[in-house]
Amino acid sequence: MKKMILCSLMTLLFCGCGRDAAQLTVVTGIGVDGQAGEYQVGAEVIRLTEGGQDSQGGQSVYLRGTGITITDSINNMVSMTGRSLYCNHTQVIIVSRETAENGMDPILEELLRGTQYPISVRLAVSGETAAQTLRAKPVVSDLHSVELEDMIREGAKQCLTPDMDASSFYQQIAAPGIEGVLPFMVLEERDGEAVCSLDGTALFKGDRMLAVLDERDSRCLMWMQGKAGGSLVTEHAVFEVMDLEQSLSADKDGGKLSLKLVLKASDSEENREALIAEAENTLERRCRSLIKQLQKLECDAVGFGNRIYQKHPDQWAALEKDWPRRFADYPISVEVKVDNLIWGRIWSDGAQEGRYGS
Amino acid sequence: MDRDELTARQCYFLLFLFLLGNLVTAAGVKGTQAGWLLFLLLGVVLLPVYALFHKASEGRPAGEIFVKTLGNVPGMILTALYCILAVLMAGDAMRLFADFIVINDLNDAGAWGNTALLTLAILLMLLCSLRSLGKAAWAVQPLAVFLLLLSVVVTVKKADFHRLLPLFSESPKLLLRSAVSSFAAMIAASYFPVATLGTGGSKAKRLAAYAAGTSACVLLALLSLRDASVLGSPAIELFRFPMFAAAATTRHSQILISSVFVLVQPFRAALCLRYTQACLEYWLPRLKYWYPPVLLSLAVLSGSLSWSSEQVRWRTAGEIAVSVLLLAGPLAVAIVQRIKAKRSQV
Repeated sequence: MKKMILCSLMTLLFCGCGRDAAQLTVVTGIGVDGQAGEYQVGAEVIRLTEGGQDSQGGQSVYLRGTGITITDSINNMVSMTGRSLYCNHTQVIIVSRETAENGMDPILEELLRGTQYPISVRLAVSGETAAQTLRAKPVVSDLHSVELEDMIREGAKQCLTPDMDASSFYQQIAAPGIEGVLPFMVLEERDGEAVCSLDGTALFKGDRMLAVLDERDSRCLMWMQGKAGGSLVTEHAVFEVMDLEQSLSADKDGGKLSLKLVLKASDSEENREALIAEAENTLERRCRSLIKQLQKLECDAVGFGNRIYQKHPDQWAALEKDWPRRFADYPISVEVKVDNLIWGRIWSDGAQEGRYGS
Repeated sequence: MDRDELTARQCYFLLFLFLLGNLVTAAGVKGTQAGWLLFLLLGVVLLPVYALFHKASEGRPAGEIFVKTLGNVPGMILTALYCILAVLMAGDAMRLFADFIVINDLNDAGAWGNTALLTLAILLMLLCSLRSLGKAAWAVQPLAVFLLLLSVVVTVKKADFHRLLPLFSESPKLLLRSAVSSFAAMIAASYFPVATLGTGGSKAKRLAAYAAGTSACVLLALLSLRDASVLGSPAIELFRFPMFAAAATTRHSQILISSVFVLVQPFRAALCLRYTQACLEYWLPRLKYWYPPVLLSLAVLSGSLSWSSEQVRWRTAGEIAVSVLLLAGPLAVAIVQRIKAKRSQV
């Protein structure tokens, strides 16, 4: 009897899977243009049958549909494929700059409410139309949307851009005292072809896109948010940011951002003190400049307000209503400390003599 | 007797699985940012409540507990009310099972198809001996715990413990309502498996019951901590199935949660119906072969009559009433027993 019960329970596990793959068209990437009520949605789908590889063919097909919502647009594509589109494997959703500037709320609402989209799908904003971005030629992969997802993930490791999925982005824009950010990408001409590349960070105010930070500021913002990675270039040296510890304190009177870094230097060990000082000064200067820029935009992308909310909720209640305006004049200090400087695999000549004596 | 064949370990596994039932919903403290703290509090509150249940039942058959102490008429009325409540809870569990699968679009079987499969599994659980059920729980519980802990491990990189701050950001009224909801669905409802399994009958089984209650609360606290630190506020209040959503932040790992849910939910429904079955068999043993299909039908009917959009949230209006009712019976028995004991001493 025990075995019968266990067998019946095991059959219930099949309640989690029940689709014939041959009936599905798997979507790997979605591009959204237009506004709520009249979306133009493109989808990169995997071609399941092998019809021979020609120069314009490949493993994926680009479909286009229009509709009132994203789901409506995707459902309308069935008139082209004859199969329902399966979006649960979608790797990335690209939103055009114009659509992002009109507001991301309708898109997020659909992504989070609809069970056909994974909430772990990565989001990005495109400088051109999403259709153009999605149709661009992949550089190394067969599937462009897979390559875009890899770009975002690897770019985040290098602190070129944030790595945001739908639920993280929603959390950021809905959480009090912090604004959302998304990776920003553009099309570049290379060898006569348009290819995608990461080009910084899209800043949001509420759910509307506000501005774009270039690569240098984007990297600085990632460091200020506590992400390690990428290179810090100073006047005399180049450092790799191996590890970073961010400490953010804030109350109604002011905020303080402290960064502790472990850097790898490509220079002589004899210049240790000078290199450390140069790295600290350079990064402090950059952080202050970026904070000024964010304050001018009234965009608290670092999260000082959120820290006040977390640590001093009673103070936040008074500040919450017009925090963006208050943020513009909010006093913020920055402290950067290089905790350790490591040198790589080789000794410089001078240092070697120092090891063994002259 | 059937229950005498249950070992203390099997009682532990069965009660643990009962408490994990309904685990995916946002009902109760699971849908709050401070849910993990409240689960730990519930784990403490659970101990005296279980002591009360054990004192009242003393290992007697489920149908005898109230009748023996309170008298025939009041005892039977109270037992009948409890049986109705047990059937309603089983129906709720079955409805939630179907809703979860349909809302998350996990298959194309629809509500009725999934309910049919679940009904078959529960029918077997009602027809078998408690010993077989205990052995099945012995196989399922470790797997369920493993899958849940695995889901925590794979999603921990998405956790940011700053998202837990500030503590108790929700209003005290909401926290109290959530705590009452979880109390009604978890702790108060535990009377059914406690009475069915007869865990009040021996010291080893009583200890197993306490261990099951506290370890289930600790596990649920850990899962709520993960959900709150991954989803944060206000996202955790947004999702109808926060545990499923938190696992889904790491691609495809939500299947761990859905697998545990489909394994565990039948035990919750079955243990509720087994209480009613035990009471009916005590009063009318002649009709015992009719009870499983009739009780299942009543449970399916009660589940289908519930309003589906609110099904994932326990009926707020009745939660306090349910808690009070489920505590009142054992409390009355314990008080009457004490009075009788004092009188007999005199």
